Amino acid sequence: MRTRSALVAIALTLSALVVGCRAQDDVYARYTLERRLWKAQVHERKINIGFLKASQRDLGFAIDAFNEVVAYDPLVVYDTRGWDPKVVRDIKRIRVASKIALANLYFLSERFHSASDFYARTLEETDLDLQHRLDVRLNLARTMYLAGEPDPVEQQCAQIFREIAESEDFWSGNHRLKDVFLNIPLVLVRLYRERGDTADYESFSRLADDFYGRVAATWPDSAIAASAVFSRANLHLIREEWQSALDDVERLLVHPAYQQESGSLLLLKGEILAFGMDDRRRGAEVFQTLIERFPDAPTAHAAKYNLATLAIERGDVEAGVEILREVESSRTAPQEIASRAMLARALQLERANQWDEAIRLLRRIMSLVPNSTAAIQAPLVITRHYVASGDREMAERNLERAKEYYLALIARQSKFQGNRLMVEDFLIENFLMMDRPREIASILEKESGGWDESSTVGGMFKSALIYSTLLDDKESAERILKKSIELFPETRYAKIAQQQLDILHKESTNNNGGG
Amino acid sequence: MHVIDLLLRYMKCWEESLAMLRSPSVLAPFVVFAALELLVLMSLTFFFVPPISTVMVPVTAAVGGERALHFPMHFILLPHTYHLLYLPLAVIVGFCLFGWAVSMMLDYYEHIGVAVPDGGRRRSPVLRSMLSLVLVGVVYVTVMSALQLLFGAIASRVGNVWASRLASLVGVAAMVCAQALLVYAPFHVAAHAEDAIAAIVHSIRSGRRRFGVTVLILATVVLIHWPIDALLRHPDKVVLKFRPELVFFLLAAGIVVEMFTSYFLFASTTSLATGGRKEGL
Repeated sequence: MRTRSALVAIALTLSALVVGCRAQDDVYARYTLERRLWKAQVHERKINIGFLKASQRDLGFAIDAFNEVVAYDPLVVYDTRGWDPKVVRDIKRIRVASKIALANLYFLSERFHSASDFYARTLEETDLDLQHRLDVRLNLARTMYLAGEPDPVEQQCAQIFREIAESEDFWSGNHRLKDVFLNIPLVLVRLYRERGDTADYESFSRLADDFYGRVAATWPDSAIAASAVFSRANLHLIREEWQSALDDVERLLVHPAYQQESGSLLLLKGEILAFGMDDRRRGAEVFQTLIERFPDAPTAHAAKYNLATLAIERGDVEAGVEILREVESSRTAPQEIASRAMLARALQLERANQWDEAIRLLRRIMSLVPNSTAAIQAPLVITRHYVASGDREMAERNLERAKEYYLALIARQSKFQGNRLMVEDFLIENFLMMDRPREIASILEKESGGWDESSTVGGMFKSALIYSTLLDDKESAERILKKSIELFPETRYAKIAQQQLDILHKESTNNNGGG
Repeated sequence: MHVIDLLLRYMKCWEESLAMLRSPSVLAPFVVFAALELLVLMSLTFFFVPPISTVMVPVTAAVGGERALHFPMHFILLPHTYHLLYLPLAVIVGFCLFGWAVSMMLDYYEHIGVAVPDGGRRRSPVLRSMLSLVLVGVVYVTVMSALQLLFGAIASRVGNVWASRLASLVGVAAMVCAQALLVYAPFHVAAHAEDAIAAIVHSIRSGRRRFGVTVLILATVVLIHWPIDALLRHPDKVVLKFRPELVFFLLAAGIVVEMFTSYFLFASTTSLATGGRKEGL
């Protein structure tokens, strides 16, 4: 009897406990989502540790895993009335982070359309904070650019600018803006200028100017104010408003947050004066001040180089060459500036009919600093000289050497960090100077297989352009463009190639119609 | 000579424990306790699954904090949350079951004609025995927890790595010594129907009398548990380097191992206390 009573008491207590406790579907849903997220993050981590080592298979696993997270939306599956708001917030946060991660993975695997789709879907989330919104919009703009959609890029950039300018969160100082977003107005102004869209160019220039002014006035002594003034100086430089740019640079020179950048600012000030406003004397004075204040800084050597250019321009070649020698022999001068000084001196020697010395100097640049811009320009100087002097044999020999040198720089395994498309341009120019367009078109078509993606596409497009414009060989041009569409589907390269193909078709239709 | 004698007695304990398994029912209390432990562990591991989530979510949150409701933090905190529930379980249920086990072992010895020393066997009402065993459990767990906390605090405050390791080792040694003195208490409750205080006092006497061999038995138990304990000391690393669920499997393996080591411990101490099947223990 006593045992039965005890059992009944225990059963009643347990029932009361069960009835008293509320259903925990929210915790279950969040836990399930977190477990899926963890699995996906394990795959993602493998890719982050070594992206180059990660295979398409790894990317595929990670994408599948994140798709599983995104596919499960507890807020739709369950009746969420009575759910703990904190748990609901967590679920939303996980879903947004997963969508962004998934879009990033699509971006990495170059599935740009899927990536932009997910970025766009993330923007539909109402609870997204400003930082996330801006990041997602930037990624969306980048993805759309790579997918070859120029107009939405502008739309996204304009939207980013609008969101920052109208954000209460930002103006109340709660949100720290990354520098990249501060430069978005500049990107827009440049885009409109390149497109020749005068109305938007003017209106966005005005908006950008106002925005930077407001940022600088809101937090006058802060780093963000200094960045805003610097961006505004760049805006004036784009618009060639030299006096306003100079005013901003002078403001920055006394700004507490930009004291570390005094050298660069003085250099910029000197260049605005000397080359923008044509005030050579004041420009030279600023360069001199910079050299005296920071004698061993890279900017001081750049200032010396500028002083040499100014001296040569005003006819004082001897003084200019002397300064160039000083820059060349300085131990503290960066290689890029020293090689530029060597190239400038070689050009002066050529002008002074001292070709033997000039060519020795040019060859020295190529052997000492082969990856510098000056070294890349050197073969063209030599070819031009031999072509001008009618020495065809030497020009041929130089061209062969130049070809080898340029191809080594563009090769995938090359350690060259600079702009490979620029190297391609110099290679082409060398061949065109020798009047051999067919040869260079063929080289670009064949060699580009072993180059990196952008160099390959650049090479193929340039080859197609030479075939279609210089050689009037539309068939070869079409063949190359079709090949690039096959090689890089879903990218902006394919889109540009398709546009070029359309233009070619239109031209040939017009020609046939005309004929 | 003393060392050889010690080793002989230790070997004899193993032999007695294995011989006792001829009557497998002696394992029953340990199996029941292991099953209860597994039940608690599984409830904590699958706290989020309905319908147990209605009870286990508040329990897990209360024991491990809000963080314990998240994956994979839940697995990182699992050894800690499990330990917090294990302690009352061991005190309330564990010691009663161990007392029952010792009683069954004494039955076994009586059955083969070995008399209980020190005045023979006395039986007391079940509830009274249970109360004494729970009190013994409280003292046992309190002493062990206090020692663990003390040496844990010392080890964490010592800056040097080796000094910290030494402090941990001294802590384990101290716990083994303390256990050697308290481990006979369930025997005294089961064999002589003593109350908790008398059982602890007599346990200390029994432990001191057979200190060497008891320490050796307990050291064996610690050594057997060491690989699992070492892994579970850093559950964050287990989660990050392998997979979160491994923490659950390690804890489950620990429970199964504990079932056998507890049996070995109580079978050995009972055989030492009774003198075993033959003289010389």
